[in-house]
Amino acid sequence: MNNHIRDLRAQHSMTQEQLAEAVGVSRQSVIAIETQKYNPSLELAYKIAKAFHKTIEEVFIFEEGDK
Amino acid sequence: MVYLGLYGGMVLGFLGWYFGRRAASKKRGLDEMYRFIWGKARSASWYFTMAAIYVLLILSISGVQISLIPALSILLLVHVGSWAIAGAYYSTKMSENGTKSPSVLLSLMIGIVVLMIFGIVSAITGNWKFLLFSLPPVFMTTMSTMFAGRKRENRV
Repeated sequence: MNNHIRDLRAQHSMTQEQLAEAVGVSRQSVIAIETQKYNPSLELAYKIAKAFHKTIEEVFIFEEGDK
Repeated sequence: MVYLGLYGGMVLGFLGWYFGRRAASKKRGLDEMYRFIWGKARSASWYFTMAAIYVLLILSISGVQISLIPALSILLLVHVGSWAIAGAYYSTKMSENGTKSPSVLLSLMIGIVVLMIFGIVSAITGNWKFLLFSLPPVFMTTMSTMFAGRKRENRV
């Protein structure tokens, strides 16, 4: 699943570590989500969206055929 | 000596598990991706355990006598070993700066597990010819590792 996390982090001047701390996961998890190697749970996706004051749809892009 | 191995291994395993988790929790490492990776690794390790059970059954049918304790030890070693290797594989796959590609790691992992199974069987039966059976799969995994490595180098 594609996402805008890297861009949103840049807009908010937020590091991967800061985002990880805000949503309660490791930095490795943020990297894996950013690089689309790991699809977060609905709960974590919600927390990430909330950290940027956005909705899930504004952060994550679901495309047909995504796992 | 047997009790030392059995209880010593259990205590060391427990201590490693406890301090590993404690260190990981300080960096919020016990998150959902951690649970996903190790759950998937446990699931993968059952395939290797199943293969080990199959090998032991074939040996038993072929007339090789393996007593209960060595057979259970092999199964435990294959199960725990493949769980750890699969966990390391999935962790590397998720990590950004993995130096080896996942396909290379997977080939290496399969090669090591195959060698481990046939090595143990050879040691137990005292018949080193069993190691010969490991040559085709190890040869295939070595070749696939080399090809995967070359493909990766060409891409870079």
